[in-house]
Amino acid sequence: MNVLEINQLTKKFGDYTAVDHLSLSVQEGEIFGFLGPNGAGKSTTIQIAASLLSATKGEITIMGRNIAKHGRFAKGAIGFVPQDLAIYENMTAYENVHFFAGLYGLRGAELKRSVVEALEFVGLEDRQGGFPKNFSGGMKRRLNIACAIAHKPKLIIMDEPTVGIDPQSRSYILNSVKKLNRMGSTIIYTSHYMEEVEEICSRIAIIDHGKIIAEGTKAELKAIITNQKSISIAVRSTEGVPLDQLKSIVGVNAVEAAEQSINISSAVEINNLNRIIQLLVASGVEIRGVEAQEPSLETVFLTLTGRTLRDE
Amino acid sequence: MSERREPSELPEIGFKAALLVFAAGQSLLPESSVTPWFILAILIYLCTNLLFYLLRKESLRPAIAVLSIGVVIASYPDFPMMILLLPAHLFELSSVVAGKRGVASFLLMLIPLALIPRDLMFLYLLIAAVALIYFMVLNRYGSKLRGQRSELERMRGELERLHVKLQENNEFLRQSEYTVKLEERNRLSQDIHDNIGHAMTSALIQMEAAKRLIRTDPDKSSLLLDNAIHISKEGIESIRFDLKRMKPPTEQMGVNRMKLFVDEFSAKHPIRTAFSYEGNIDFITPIHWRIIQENTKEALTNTMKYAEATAVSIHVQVLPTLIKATVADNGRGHTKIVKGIGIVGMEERTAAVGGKIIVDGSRGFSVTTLMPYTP
Repeated sequence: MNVLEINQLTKKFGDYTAVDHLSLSVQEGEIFGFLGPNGAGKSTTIQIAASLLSATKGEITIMGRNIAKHGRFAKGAIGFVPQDLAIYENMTAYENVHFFAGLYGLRGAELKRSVVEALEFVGLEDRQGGFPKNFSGGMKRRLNIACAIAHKPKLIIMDEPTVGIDPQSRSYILNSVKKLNRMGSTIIYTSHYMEEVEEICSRIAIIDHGKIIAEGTKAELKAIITNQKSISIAVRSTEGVPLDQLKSIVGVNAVEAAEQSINISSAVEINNLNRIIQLLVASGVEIRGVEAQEPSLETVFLTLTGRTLRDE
Repeated sequence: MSERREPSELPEIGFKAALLVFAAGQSLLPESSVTPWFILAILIYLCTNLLFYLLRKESLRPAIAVLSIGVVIASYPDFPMMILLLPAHLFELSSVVAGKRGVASFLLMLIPLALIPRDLMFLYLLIAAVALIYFMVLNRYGSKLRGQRSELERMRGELERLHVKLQENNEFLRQSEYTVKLEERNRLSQDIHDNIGHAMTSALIQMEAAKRLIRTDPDKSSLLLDNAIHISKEGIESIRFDLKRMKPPTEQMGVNRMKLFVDEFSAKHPIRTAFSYEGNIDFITPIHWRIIQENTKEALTNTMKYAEATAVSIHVQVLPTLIKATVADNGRGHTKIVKGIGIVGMEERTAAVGGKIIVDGSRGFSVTTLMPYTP
């Protein structure tokens, strides 16, 4: 089932078109990545999906129900983690989560249990009495997430949840995203850090100037720009390298022997590294290093739009 | 539903209502109170009233409304009850003259209150209030209906526009295919004429000469026949070659046409242009070429109009699943792009083959056309 379906969504701010006839569907159980530079329309799109903005045109359904007609249902089904922190500095961590979960209609013992669970989930159970003003940037981000997930939404939308935090907190957050997904939530994750999107997302839409310019799995997106990967093997000496046998390995297109390295160009979809290495070892070649290079999503974006994802 | 009603229906209803009121009055009221003067007053009142609805001319309406009020006031001294008809007309007058302003209308209705005897006052007030509410509801209903009707009209127009556009696009596709076919046919006939035609003619001449010489000079004749055989063989070779070559030239034509187009453009305009391509351009079909060319034309026009650029580059690249064509200038660009007819046209054209347009103004101005293809 499609948890989220966006059909021909358009959002105009005056003359400026921020989202331009954008259509996409997110299936249950996915971690769907939204990748694009700042100002591409990612945030606008998901803010409309989360009923925070109204669409100029187009429609959005969540689990088959139009959000324009089933506003209450849509809001309860979504947990939205906004880019700008939405927590109260003068309330404790516990009170913050308690407040937001209460807004979603949780009451009594269930509310208390959910708040504690959410805080445990983001690793803030020890600090539940602490005030956010004393928290680090990463802790605030985690609290921000806890506020959005306490009511156990089917769909969690995260808008740049890792902006401006330390590497530990970042990896903690990425791991919790994966954990939430394993626990049954569908996740939409927006970022302009392509490494993050590449690491956790099962499907990705590349968005620019309010349009989806490419969509698919990592492999599919990379296949747009190339079907070759280059494998570079550093060796002690290229003497005795069985070039012809290397060429006959499935997927290999070209083999080039330099002084102390072998460069192989191979079809990206075939994993033949094991066979190449076995062959080299069997022929008595001493391997010193292996490097396989695939194009990154950054390269995909650069090739399609001529620009980089981040502003230099 | 109001469109279906006959225009004469309303006056008919009015006429019947008048007859009904007359009959009812005749049978209920004492004979003496229904004087001919009373009937005359009622009839004049009805006439002025019907006139209001029958005359469609806006400018006459206030006058008739005033006339109706005059009739009511004139008959008031003799028939006090007639004053109860006043509120409706005052409202009518105020809405014709001043538009829909409920409070003003109500105040206008209250003016005659000063002249009315006490026993009628309450009844007058009641009727004024009912008339006010009734007419205001009616007004609102009417304006809502008008709104819906104009919305319907607008949607119909939109549908019409889209329909025309769809037809245009279909026509565009059909025309492109036709052009390609024509070009292909042209090339074939040219090739047949240039190569095979010539070969066959010269083989024929040599064979005829050989036939004549076959008795007198058998050696020469056999030489000529050998020649003819050789030429025929070459002809067959060239037919084979042409058949094999049949596909690539259309693509070559695309690139050449593009080059030609870009050259023409740079000759006409004071701007440096560069055209380049990479990847296997054999995958670009004539329809793709056509879209690339039209989009390039549009983008170049934009550049000349707005960009203040000194150079523009056109780059066509065939990726494993996409064809990408970029027109980029070194002008001043624009951070917030407002979509005009040009960009929308490019988008629609490109969407016809499932492609996308990216317009970017962050570094100079660039238009990128991305179209999927099947290798």
